[in-house]
Amino acid sequence: MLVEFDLIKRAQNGDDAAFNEVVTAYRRRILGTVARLISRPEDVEDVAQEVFVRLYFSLDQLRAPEGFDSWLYRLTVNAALDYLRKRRRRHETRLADLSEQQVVLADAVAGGRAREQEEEKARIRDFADELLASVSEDDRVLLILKEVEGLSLKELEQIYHVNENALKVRLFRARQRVLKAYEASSSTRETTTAREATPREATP
Amino acid sequence: MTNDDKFNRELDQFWSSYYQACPTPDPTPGFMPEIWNRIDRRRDSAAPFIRRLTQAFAALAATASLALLLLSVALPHSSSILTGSYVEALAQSQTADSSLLQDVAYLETSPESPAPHGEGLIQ
Repeated sequence: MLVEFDLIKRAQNGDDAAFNEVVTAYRRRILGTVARLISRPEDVEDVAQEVFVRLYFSLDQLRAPEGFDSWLYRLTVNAALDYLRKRRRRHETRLADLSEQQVVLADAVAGGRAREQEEEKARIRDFADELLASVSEDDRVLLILKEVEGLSLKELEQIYHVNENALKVRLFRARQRVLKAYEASSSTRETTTAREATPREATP
Repeated sequence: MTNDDKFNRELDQFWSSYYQACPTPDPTPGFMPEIWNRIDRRRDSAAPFIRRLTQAFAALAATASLALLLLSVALPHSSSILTGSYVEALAQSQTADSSLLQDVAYLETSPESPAPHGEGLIQ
């Protein structure tokens, strides 16, 4: 835990200064988790703010301050899921996203090398989005928490309130789907590379 | 190494590069003020709803009270329970048990007489 129990109890009792301290202590962690869950840098802050607003209104329901971390993770997961579902409903096309991201990147990054690195990162994020499109939003979040955030099954159990076996089954199925998508995209890439490497026949 | 193992390993590596590709952004200066703005907005939007809910409950309670009042005025007072006192009503309901109670009382005051309803009563 990043803060003392006492601070959480004070925040629960309506102490706004204590709540500010809790937010300050946890905001970087939440921003990082949200960034990896939604993979849209431009929306990360918005979703993280939503997490803390939800925390403010639900803090009185937290029975034991020891469970604060998993409580906050749960709120983060729910806010990220709401965002991802909304995004799917909006039918944002990937092409539009890419151009928007490129504009943001072009504005933010001036130097050539830094720009290349940022573009590479954006490509990785896009590829992750492509792979994770093969599973539901719920499974996407679960998979990222396990594989990317590195949470243990015990921690996931506390967040989801589901027993370990059920989580294992869900994780296995989700990973298999993503693996299949990864294999498919790998073979596509190999075919493309091979085609590009083959010399064209000379036209008469 | 099988193809599956190879892809599994590659996927694990990909997750770590994805982690690197999603750096933790620094909060902007407006991060905290925006949280409080949202909290205030949500509080303000919740207040009228609660007020409307309270008004609806009050109206419902008033209507129910009025209906009960009208019902009690409209119905005729036919029951004898309403006219008699509590003691009278109690006496009326106990007529069936009174003979048994009298027997018990009698046995308790005169121990030398034989028990009419079994031995267990006075022991």
